[in-house]
Formats: sequence, C-alpha cells, structure tokens
Amino acid sequence: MDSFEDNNPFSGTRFIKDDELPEEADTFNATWDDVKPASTSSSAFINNTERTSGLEISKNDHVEEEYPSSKPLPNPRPFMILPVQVTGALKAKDGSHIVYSIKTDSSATQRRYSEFVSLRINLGRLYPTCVVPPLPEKHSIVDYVFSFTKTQRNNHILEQRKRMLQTFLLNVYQHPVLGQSQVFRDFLSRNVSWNEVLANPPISLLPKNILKASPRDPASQEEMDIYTHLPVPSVNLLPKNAYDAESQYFIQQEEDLKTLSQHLANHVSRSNNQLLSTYTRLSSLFSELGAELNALSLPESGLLLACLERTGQACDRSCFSAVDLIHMLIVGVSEPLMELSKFASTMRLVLQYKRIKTIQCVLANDMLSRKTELLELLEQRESEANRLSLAIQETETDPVSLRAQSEESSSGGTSDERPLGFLSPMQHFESNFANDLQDPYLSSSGLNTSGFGPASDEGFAAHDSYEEQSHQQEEQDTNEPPPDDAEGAANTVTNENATLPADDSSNSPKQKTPTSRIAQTIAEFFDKINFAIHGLVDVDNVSTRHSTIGRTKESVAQLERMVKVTKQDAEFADKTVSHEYKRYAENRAETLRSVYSSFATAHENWAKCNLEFWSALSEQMEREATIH
Amino acid sequence: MAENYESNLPTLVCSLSEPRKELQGTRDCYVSYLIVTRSTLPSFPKSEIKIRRRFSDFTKLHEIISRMYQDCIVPPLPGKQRLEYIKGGRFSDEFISRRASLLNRYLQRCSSHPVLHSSPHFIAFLSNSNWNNYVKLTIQPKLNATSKLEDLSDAFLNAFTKLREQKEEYAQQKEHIQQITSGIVNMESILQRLSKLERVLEQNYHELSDQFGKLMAMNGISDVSLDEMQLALRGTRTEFAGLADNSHSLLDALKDIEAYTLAYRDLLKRRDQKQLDVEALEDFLVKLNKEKEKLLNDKPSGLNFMKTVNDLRGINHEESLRKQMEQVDTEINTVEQAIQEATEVSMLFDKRVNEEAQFFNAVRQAEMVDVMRKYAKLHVQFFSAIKDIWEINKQEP
Repeated sequence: MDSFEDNNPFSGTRFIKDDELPEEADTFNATWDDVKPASTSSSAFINNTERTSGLEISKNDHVEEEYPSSKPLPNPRPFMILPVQVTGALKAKDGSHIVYSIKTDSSATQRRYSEFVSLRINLGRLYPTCVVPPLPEKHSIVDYVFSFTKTQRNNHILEQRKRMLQTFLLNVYQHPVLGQSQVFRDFLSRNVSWNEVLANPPISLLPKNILKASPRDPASQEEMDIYTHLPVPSVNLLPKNAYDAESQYFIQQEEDLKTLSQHLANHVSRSNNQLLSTYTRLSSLFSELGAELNALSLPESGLLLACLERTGQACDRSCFSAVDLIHMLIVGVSEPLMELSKFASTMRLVLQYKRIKTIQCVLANDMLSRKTELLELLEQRESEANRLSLAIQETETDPVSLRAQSEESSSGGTSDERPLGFLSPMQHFESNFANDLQDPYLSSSGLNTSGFGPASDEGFAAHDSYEEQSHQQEEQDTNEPPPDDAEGAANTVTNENATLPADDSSNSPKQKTPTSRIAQTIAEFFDKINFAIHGLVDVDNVSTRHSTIGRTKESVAQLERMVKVTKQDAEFADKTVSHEYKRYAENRAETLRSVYSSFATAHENWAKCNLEFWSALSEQMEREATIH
Repeated sequence: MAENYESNLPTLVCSLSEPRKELQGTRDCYVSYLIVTRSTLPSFPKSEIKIRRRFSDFTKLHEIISRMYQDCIVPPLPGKQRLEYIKGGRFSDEFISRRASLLNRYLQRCSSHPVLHSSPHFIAFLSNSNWNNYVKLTIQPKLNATSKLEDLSDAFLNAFTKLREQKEEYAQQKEHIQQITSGIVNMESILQRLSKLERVLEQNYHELSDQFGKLMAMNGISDVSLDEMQLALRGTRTEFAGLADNSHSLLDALKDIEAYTLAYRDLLKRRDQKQLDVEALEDFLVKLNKEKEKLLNDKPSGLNFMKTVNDLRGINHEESLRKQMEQVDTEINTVEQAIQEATEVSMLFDKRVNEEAQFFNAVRQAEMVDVMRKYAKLHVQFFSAIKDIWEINKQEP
C-alpha cells in the first residue's frame, strides 16, 4: 500500500514541500508518460472544446519535451490556454488520506479529495447560475468490476479517481465563468492552502442562504438590506396561477432533467455496469479455458498438441482483450454516463434557482402593489379626515350632532370588547405570517389567500366600524371598499414585521392641525384596532396615523428597490441560466455522441483484436487440416 | 492409422441428413433420418444406397455390434448420454437437429472403423430394406445363444480380482485416457459456463438497447440520434445468441468424445479380462503340477499302511497310481492347451487392442482438432460480425 501508482518514483509516503520543487518537476516528468493515455482518453469526452483538447494534447507533447529546461517558475504563457493535469495520487505523510498532484503550466499543487468536494460546493454557492461540473463519487463501478486482488482494485480505483478528478478540473477550467474564477485559480495554486481560501472573501462573505443574495455575485455586500429581507419561496410548492406558459415550460424542463438524471443513473448506467460485470466474468472464464486447454495439451502430441496450445493462447488473449474492452467502456461510457446524470441534476438545480429568483421577483411585485394600495388608501383616508375636520369646523355649533356623536362614543365603549375579538384573528394572521417566513412559498400565493383567510374576519369587523362611520355621515358618501381597508390593516401588520422602523418626520405639517371630535371618533376606532394589535395605548392617534403612512411610504420605497433588484436579478439569472442551458444541452449532445462513438470504438477494437488472432489460428488450423 | 485404412482398402462413406417426422399427429409419431451410403466394398450391394432409419433402429444396431465385436471400441450411441441442457421435447427442432448431428457422427465413427465398416450387420443396417426382419431372423438367435448374463457374471466375478502382472503399456494407456477424459470434462464445464455467460450478455445487450431507446424517447434528447447505436446493440445481442447456440454443437461434440473415451476404457477392461483368464488357467496349472509332484513323490515309500490295505483288497497299487498319473497328466495337458489357447486369444486381443487404440486415438485427435477448428471458426465468425456491426456504425457520423 506504499505506492498507488505503479511507476511513481515517489513511492507514496512523502508529502512534497515547496522547497522540493526541482525534484517534483522530475516526478511530473517521469509520470508524464503514464498519465498521457489517460488524458487523451478523458479528453475524448470532455466536450465543447475539442479544439482546445486537441490543442492541449499536442501541447502536452510539447511540454514533455521542454519541461526539464523550462522550470515552472517563469511562464510566458497565459494561464488560461494551458491544461490542467492530475498527475499522481500519493499517500499523505501521516498516511490517513491520499493527495492528488495537480499540475498546470504555471503551478503545481496537491489537493485531497475533500478539498475537491469543498471547491465544488463553494463554486456552486459563488456561481449559483452556473452548472458546476460533477465530481466522481467515493465509490464507483470499478469497485465491483475489478476485484481480482486488493492492490489491483485499489490501483484501479485510484486510476479512475485520478481520471475523473482531472475531468472535473478540465470541465471547470473550460467553463467560461468558473474557469476564470479566483477561487479556482487559488485551488490550482501551490502557494495557497485551501483552508485559507475558505476563510477569506469571497467565500467567507457568502450568506448562509444563497437565495438571499445576488445571483451575479452572492458574496457582494451591496443592497444587503434588501437581500436579507427577500422572501425565500419553497422549491416544492408551485403557485400555478403565478405562472404563465413559459414558466410551465421551465417547470417541465426541470421535471425532464430529473427523469433524465434518474434514468441515466438507475437504468442506463446500471445495465451498462451489468454488461461490464458479465464481461469481467467472461474474461476470467476465458483465462480458465486457456489454462485448461494447456493442461489438456500435456498428454497429447503432434497436431493436437499444437492445436490445443494455440487455442489456449487465443483464449488467454481473449481474456486480455475483454479486460481492455471493459476498461475502454468504463472510461468512455460508464464514467461519461454517470457524469451526464450528475450534470442533469446540477442543471436542474440551477433551473430551480432561476425559478426561485423569478418567484422572488413576482413576490416583490405583489408586495409592492399591496403596499402601494395601502398607501393610497391611507392617503385617501387622510384627505377624508382633513375634509371631515373642515366639515366639523363648519357644523361645530350643532348640538344634535354632537350628542349623537357622544352617544356613538359611548357605544364605542361597548366596542371595548372588540379588541379581544380582534386579537385572535390578528394573532392568527401574525403567526401565519411567521409560518410564511419559514415556509415562504406559501406566502407567495399566501399573500393573496391571506387576504381572504384569516384577514376576512377582521375585514368584517373593520367593515362594521366603517359602516357606523358612514352611517353617521351619509352625506359624506364614503365609498371606500371595506375589505381593502381590512387588507390594508393586515398589510400594516405585515409592514411591522417586514419593514424597517418608519420615520415619523416624514409627516406633513398640514396634517398636524387640530381635529374635530368626529375625526377623533374615527381615529378612536383605529386606535382601538391598533390597541388590539399592539396591546399598547397610543393616545396620539393622529401621529399614529401619520407614522403608519410614513412607514408605509418607507416600505413602499424599499419594496420598489427590491422589485428593481429582484427584477434585475431575475433577468440576469434568466439570461445566464438560459446560456448555461444551451451550453449544457450542447455538452450533453456531445457527450452522448462521444459515449456512442466510444462504445463503438471499444467494440470495434475488441472485435478487431480478437479477429486478428482467432482468424490467424483458424487459418493455420485449416492449413494443417488439409496437409494431414 | 485411420487414413491408411481409407486409402488402402475399399471405402464406405455414409452421411445422415434430412430428419423427418413420420406419422405426425398419431401416437406412433417418430423421427426418421435419411442415410446415404456410397461404397466400394465388395460386400456392399450397390455403389450408392439411400435408406431411412429411425432412432430405435440405431439402438438395435448398436446392441448387435457392441455384443458381436468385443474386441472393438464400438462408438457410443448418442442419446445414451445426458442431453439435459436441451430445451423442449423429443420433437423440438433443436432436439432433432442435434440428435441428427450426433447420429451422423456415430455413423462416421462406425464407417471409418477398420473392422466395423465391413461388418455384415452394419452393411445390413445401411442397405437392407428389411432391417427389422434381418434382426429378428438372423441376429436374434445368435445373440440369445451367447447369453448376456454370462458375460455379465463373468465380468462381475473378475471385477474384484486384481491382475497379477500389470502390463506397463496398458497401465500407461489407462492413465493417459483417464487424464484426457478428466480434461475434456473440465473443458466441457468451462464451455458450458461460457455459453451461459454468452446468454447473459445477450440479455445485457438487450436491456442496454432498451434503456438507450427509452433515453432517446425522453424530452430534449431527440437532437442526438442513437438509432444506430440501438441497432448495433441489437445486432451484438443477436450475435451473442448465435454464439451461445453454436457452442452447443461444440459441447455435444466434446460430450461425444468423452463417451468415446469411455468405450475405449471399456475395451481396456475387456483386455484385462482376457489376461485374467490366462492367469486363472496358469494358477490352475500350477495346482495340477503340484498334485502330480505329490503323486510322483508317493512312489518310493512303497511299504506303508495304504499299500498293505490296497494289496489286501486286491487292488493293483501300481495300476491305480498309474491311472492317477494319467488323469493328472491329461488334465495338465488340457490346461496347458487351454492356456496356450487363452494366451493366444489374449495376445490376439492385445494386438487388436493396440490396433483399436491406435485407431481410436487417431479418430479422437482428429475430432478434438475438429472441435478446436470449429471453435476458432466460430470466434472468427462472431468477431467479424461484431466488427462489421460497429465499424459500419462508426462510419456514419
């Protein structure tokens, strides 16, 4: 278990330090030959960039020649053109894990598997609109296909791991955005420890929930106040009415990707793996047959001896060719299929992210429109109050109306019981809203339904009080639709929870004029409602009213910004994701084609190789048969 | 060697083909096979004869020749072996065609056999249109004369006595054939497992082509055409099925060789029998000689009690002794004669065995080479088909 790589001159147990640079260069040089076939075969299924990979192979040859002279230090070539190589797998110093040597033209470093995983996770968080290439799983097909000996198996597993890690790195590297990212460069750089990268910006600045961040740059600190208040809808609940045909199409697309990913992983790959394991058994049976034929030839002589021996040899070669076939199928078919499956599920997650971003935009719009309605309502009421106060000033000397008013106010005393009645729906609503925050998708549709649900009771209550008012002042003809009022009140509550504290200073001086008793009475009703809600006595109903308007204005302004930001984000997500989807679809088509051609090539080579020695054998035997 | 016989002696070549179901739909349905024989043997009535025989005719023939030609390695009759891996009943096409090829090989072995091919019974089988009567009237009485039971009891009695003197040559032959038989049995089991795996592969390819078909039917994948791949997968599947089917005939051939080696081992046993006969007679002779010696030793001691008694009874002592001696002498003579005969028989048998062994080994080796040749051919066929399937496919994109 010292050395995992057959020809690695560094037999394992050494951690290469920075000061061992020249020696390491030799290592790479020595292992270069072993790695090259793997790189060519893997580049066969790295897509979209045949040109690059073709280039890269020729570059490899180039580099191989001049590597010893051009030590890694100064490199005139820009970083981007050069390939990434996983050149070896070594056991770490303490023997607890395996490190993989990564080599680029400008740098060489070693990373362990968990760091690859961490890189992938963080790339996904930093670039939520990008399809981050998949990583190989810890255990894979090779586990059960090759199980001759333990060391052999370990070698195969490591070989495969190396190959797939390299594919991963190349895939990331070739991604227009991910390949350019600082984090990725840091990962490839020998001078940066991965923990350092994790502890520093941008990764350290990432919010916990990536949905509460900009899709463009989740680590950005701009508009933080808005992002922290973004509603986060759930992935599972789909508000059908909030979606048009286009969104339905995207939902369908997500579903398709899910089925595709599952089909690839559970069916196509599985039957392919079954095929491989049958071939494994076949190859070992062939070697058994070869041995048996050799044994059978021992007591024989003459023609039969020669026949048996040669057939035995052909069987042995059949065994080896089947192993080659298996290997080619693993590299060219099994691995790309698994990759395809993972790509599909990553693509689905990215689409999901985009959908949520769109929903967030819709939600922000909803919230804004309700807030605006409320503001309009409040302002209308304010102006009515002003009109009322003017009217009262005119009729102030009329005692009848005054008495009526005082009666009304005494009846208002009976309505003291109301707060209790109010309290429960309001609490209900509040808790409901709290629930919405936890299960936010509900609120997207729920903000509509909550207008009918818990708020409707309260709506009737408010309606009652309003009717009393309008009853007294029929000539005023207030045709305010009461349910709206109720919803407004509900939204006030929403406001209290969802927005920043309002600033009172925005109130206009005109509204500060002394009010009439009737106006006072009206205000008293609001006061009671407020009392019911907040459980505190705010005597200054005017300032309360004004502050409500102020807060609403404030939150409208904030919501307007939110709408703007989410709209931009949604547009950005839409644009990049559709670009990514195009890239993904091209990649998928390319991979499928390459799977097909690898499958065909593997079979063709297998058949050719077998045909060669079987027909040579057959011809020889036919010749001998005619001679005898 | 087999080839020599064929080149020097008049030949007899026969082939079996065209199995046909007779009296189909009735209870007495059976399968008949056409046998075409060309021969230059003087005892053969015509130069070419076509005749139809059913399996039970073969069993009769086999019974006759295996009883009549004890000194030959009579080829084993197919169907006596296990054919348990055959699907379907006795009238399934697969069964019939395989039995036909096995019966054909049986005829080949018989007709190339230096002794059997000119046997009147074999010729009657190939040419006599009234085979059943021939068996009933001509053969049956002869067979009854040498009862089966006698042979059996003889063999049984001697099964437990060991040979006094193992001849190196035959011990070697036994060991050799033992080795070959076990090798063939091993190979059979491997080939059987291989053909099972080929069936599994057939299944695997079938499934894989199904899965790729489903993949293609999915939304958004239609831009890549995997039609050719599916076709190729199906083609590969068919090829594997063919490979598995064809390896059955190879397995049959191997089983047939195995059964033939058993016949050879039986012959070796019968040879031991002959040697045992001689040895038993020799033992008897030794006994007789001892007796004679005893009688001779009696002579000098003339004055004993017995002599007195015999004298008294008026028996001529000299006379009786002489008679006894004569008796022993004649017995010794007969035994010695028997030994001479038995030794001659045994030696002749040994000679026959050697001839048979030579012939058998030639046939066996030729058959095994043939199996190897067919095996190689099968693979050439298979792999060129596979190559074509995937090569054509690759050219298209």
